[in-house]
Amino acid sequence: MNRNEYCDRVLAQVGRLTTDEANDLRNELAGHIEDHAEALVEHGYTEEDAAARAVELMGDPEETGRALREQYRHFWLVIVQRIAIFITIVVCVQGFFMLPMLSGVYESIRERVNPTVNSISWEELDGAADLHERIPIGDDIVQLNRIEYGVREGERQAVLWVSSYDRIPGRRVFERLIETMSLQSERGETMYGEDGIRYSSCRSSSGSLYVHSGRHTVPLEEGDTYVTFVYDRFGERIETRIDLPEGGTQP
Amino acid sequence: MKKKSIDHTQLLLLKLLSTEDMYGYQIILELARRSSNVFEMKEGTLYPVLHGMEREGYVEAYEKAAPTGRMRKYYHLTRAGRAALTEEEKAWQEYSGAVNAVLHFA
Repeated sequence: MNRNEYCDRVLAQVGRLTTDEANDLRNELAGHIEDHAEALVEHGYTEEDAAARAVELMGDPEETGRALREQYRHFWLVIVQRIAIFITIVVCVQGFFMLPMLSGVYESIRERVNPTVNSISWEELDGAADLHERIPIGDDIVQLNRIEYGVREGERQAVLWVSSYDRIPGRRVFERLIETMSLQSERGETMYGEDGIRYSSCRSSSGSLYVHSGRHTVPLEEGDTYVTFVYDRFGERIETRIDLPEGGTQP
Repeated sequence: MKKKSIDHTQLLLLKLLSTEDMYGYQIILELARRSSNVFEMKEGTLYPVLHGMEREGYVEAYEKAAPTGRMRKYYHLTRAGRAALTEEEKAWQEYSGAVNAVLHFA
């Protein structure tokens, strides 16, 4: 029996070990035999005799292997531990990436229950009403929240609060849809830019848009009875007529 | 009876390692030297005991290169190992004291 055979026979008895454990054990046993053989050579042994004697002095490899097995019974524990650590890391990483999505879920549900309506000041308020109207467009929903009209900054105007979100909370809203939305007067007038449309949106740090809410303004003339909300449904222009309510107050 | 002898091996190893960090073959040499060659064990059986002590947290292993460049695994006694040594030494003193008392009973 040479050094390698001795190590093989010990390891065969120990049973399951991780690769690192098996390598460590083999190196340690082989190192011991080598140390002892070197010492024997110094005492006058030939290298061959020294190697054989050093292995012999190790004793029965099966006995040592069986005794070692008792110390490595925890093999499965080590494996389970490693799997547990791996799963924990995966869950943490996934959770980290899901955080913005969770806030998207929250904002999306909140918008359905309690829509964003930032109140504005009127010099003269002629009418106001909550609309609670939902228009499905593909996977998205456009929600008409509230209309108010009267005189602001010396001009007759109507203001419409709109929000949009995906049908499924936590999924993104189609941004192109938002760009196509506008509010028109009976004569087809529209106000663009800062005066016409004010946005306040829930956008995650990664830039995904989960909920969009906006305030559209349009000029009115005395005697107007409705405004028209215009949007684009897959290239088709859709107009929704919104009657101007009589009376009503600001929330 | 076999279990007993393993326990004693552990006590001897704890004691040896309390003076300095050692590698396997060095432990064997030191054991033979200190016991005037009375304690000569099958050298392979040292490792189950050492690894068991490592698992118990009595010793910590680290690698250090031998003069030949080969890596050797050294064992270092931990604080838990020192506490175990005190306990086992005390138990052994009581035991051997009792045996002597019986032997010398006149």
